[in-house]
Amino acid sequence: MNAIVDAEMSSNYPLRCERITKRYAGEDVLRDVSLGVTPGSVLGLIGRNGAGKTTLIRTLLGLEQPDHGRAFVFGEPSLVLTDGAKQRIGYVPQQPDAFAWMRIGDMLEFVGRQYPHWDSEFVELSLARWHISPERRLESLSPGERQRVALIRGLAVNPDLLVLDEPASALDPVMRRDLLREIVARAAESGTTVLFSTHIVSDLERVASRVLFLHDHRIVVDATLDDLAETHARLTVPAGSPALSASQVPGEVSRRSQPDGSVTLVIARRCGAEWPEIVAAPGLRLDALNLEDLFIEVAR
Amino acid sequence: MRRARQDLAALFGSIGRPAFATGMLWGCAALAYPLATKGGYAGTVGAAIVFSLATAFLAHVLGSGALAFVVDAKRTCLPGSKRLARRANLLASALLLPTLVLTVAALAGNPVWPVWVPPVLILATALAGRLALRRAAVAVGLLLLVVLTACWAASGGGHHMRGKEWCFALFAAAIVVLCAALPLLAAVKWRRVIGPGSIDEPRVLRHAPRMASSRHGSGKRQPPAQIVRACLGGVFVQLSQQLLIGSALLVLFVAAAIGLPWLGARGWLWVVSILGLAAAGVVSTAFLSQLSKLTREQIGEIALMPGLGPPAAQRRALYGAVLAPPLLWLGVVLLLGSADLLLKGESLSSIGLLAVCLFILWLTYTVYALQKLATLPPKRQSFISEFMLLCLVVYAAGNYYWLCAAHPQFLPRFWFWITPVLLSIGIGTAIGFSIHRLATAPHPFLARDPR
Repeated sequence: MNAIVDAEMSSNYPLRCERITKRYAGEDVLRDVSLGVTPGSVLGLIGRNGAGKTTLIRTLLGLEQPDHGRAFVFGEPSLVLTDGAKQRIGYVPQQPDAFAWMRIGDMLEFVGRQYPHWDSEFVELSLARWHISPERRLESLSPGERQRVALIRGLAVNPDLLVLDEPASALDPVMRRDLLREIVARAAESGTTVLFSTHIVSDLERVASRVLFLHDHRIVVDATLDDLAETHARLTVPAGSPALSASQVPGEVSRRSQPDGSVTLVIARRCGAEWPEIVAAPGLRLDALNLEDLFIEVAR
Repeated sequence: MRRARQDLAALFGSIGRPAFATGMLWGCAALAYPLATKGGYAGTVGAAIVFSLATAFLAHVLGSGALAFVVDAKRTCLPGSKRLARRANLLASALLLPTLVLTVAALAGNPVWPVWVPPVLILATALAGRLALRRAAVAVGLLLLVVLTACWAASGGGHHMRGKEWCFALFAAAIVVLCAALPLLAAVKWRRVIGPGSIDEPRVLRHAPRMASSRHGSGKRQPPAQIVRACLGGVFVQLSQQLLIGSALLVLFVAAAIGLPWLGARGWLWVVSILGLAAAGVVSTAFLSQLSKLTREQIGEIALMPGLGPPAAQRRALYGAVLAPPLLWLGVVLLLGSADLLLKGESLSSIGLLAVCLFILWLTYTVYALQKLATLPPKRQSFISEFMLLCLVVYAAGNYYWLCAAHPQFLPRFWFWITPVLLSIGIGTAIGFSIHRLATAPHPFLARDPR
């Protein structure tokens, strides 16, 4: 019975994982991470270098085996995906270096044969628009050009699930804007579910409907972009305040000591719920946070 | 000092491995050398060949260590990785200095021709081993020169050719130039095998309207093994690289067939078998080095490629794609070697011996390849596989040395029977362990290394 319920739950989410823990050489890289990505949403994964973004993406797609927990793609266990599920996934890795020995045109032709919904017209248009000759070899491309080709390949699949691992890291601002526009269009017009990781907060603000903040190998923020400003705030506690004696403030996400002895905390509440009582204590200041402030406060 | 130690540790994983391998190699060579000296000058050259092969192995270990480090450095994408890679290569090359010292010392001590031939052979073989991973054709050329020179010197060429050294020099130069020209073949725009079973399909694709006007893909799927081969890239699919290997093998055997009688060489079984083993080693190295270059991203893209079927089919496709292509080329080596032996009137049993040696080499390749696949992305070889290769090289070289070159009376029974049995057990265990590891994973393309 449980298995049936599990399967139904999983199939509702294009991407889902339960309590994933991943260790390398005895050190946690992911700690008890759970998430479910709803169909048609654009989920932005943000975090510092080494936070575990790439490992999370790879584990979700079944490219790495978690030490604990399970991941599902379209309801199928991600470690044993069928060809049917793979045909619905578009994946752009951080450093796309497969098929480097091929010419761009040949590679796209070769890959296109494996996908029933391959969009040759899109490929042709994109190559022309981004001034990439299909005659060039992939190994001769610059990192930015190679990433562009990988994006064309990922999007031409017409995927139901598009997974992009730092897709904008090697792109110039014009290209980045093009890419973000394409992501939004795909999500809006085709209902494509998008998961993308990035360091660039402004990119996330432009396209993501939901933000997942990975820090210290676990998810510390999981909220829609609209709710974020309402649900998260910075609480500044001056030096010597009795409020500091509290071991942990309810809803505390992070805590940071300042050089002047004061402490700043990022606190969270449920949507529509009240802030904890401590906020009203004399001398304490509560500030709204935008995404960039939140990132800096938590990650620093 | 500490920094140098760190560099060495980064290069080899641990200092103990190359140190132990070096000790073993020089120990084996020391064992062979006194025996060889009893066979006069021919025996000395025979021992030099044993010693050379051992040195080639060491050089190969050093070279692959450097390559693994370079790949690691590239994967980390950290600033300074190029500098680290350069340093790794420099270190690997610097560790060949003892061989160079040996040669220079021999030349300085006794410059009379042809006494210094063996040390030069050792130096050339060491260089070939160092180059094998990156410049397979040059390595083949050097090995060929070693074999030819050894045969010529062993058969008294140094005496009856006295005054005609320029002939040999010209012949050697021609071979070197030919081998250096071989890489140019890669520049020729050979079509690549990406279509189902036909090398002409890419051309068809090119001349057809690119990106067909229909909105969706053609739906013509490739067999899983072909998809995996295309993803592996390099020598697994590129006709230019395979032709390079084929040409090198052909040159190797043709040069031996034409050059050796002219140079007055004798002992065909010995010569052809050594040539066969050297050629098979180069073939296996070319394929293994391609596997070593795989990155996590590449493997991830293979894993997510539709058309590979369920995990069991994926494993079959992977085994087929990785293990079969070298077998084809080893078959070519066997064919050329057998033809050579038959033309020179050797018995059929000698062909059988060559076939057994080539099969053992393929099994060794299988051990290495499976081990790389079981630890994707590929890492440095484990100590046990390095040790096995060392045993294999010393055993194969020793067989020929004792059997044909020097002293059949020294051939101990245990050398012929016990060692192969132990080797077979080792190879079987290593293959079984790797296959078990691959079979128990949910799918064969799981990455197993830390970022």
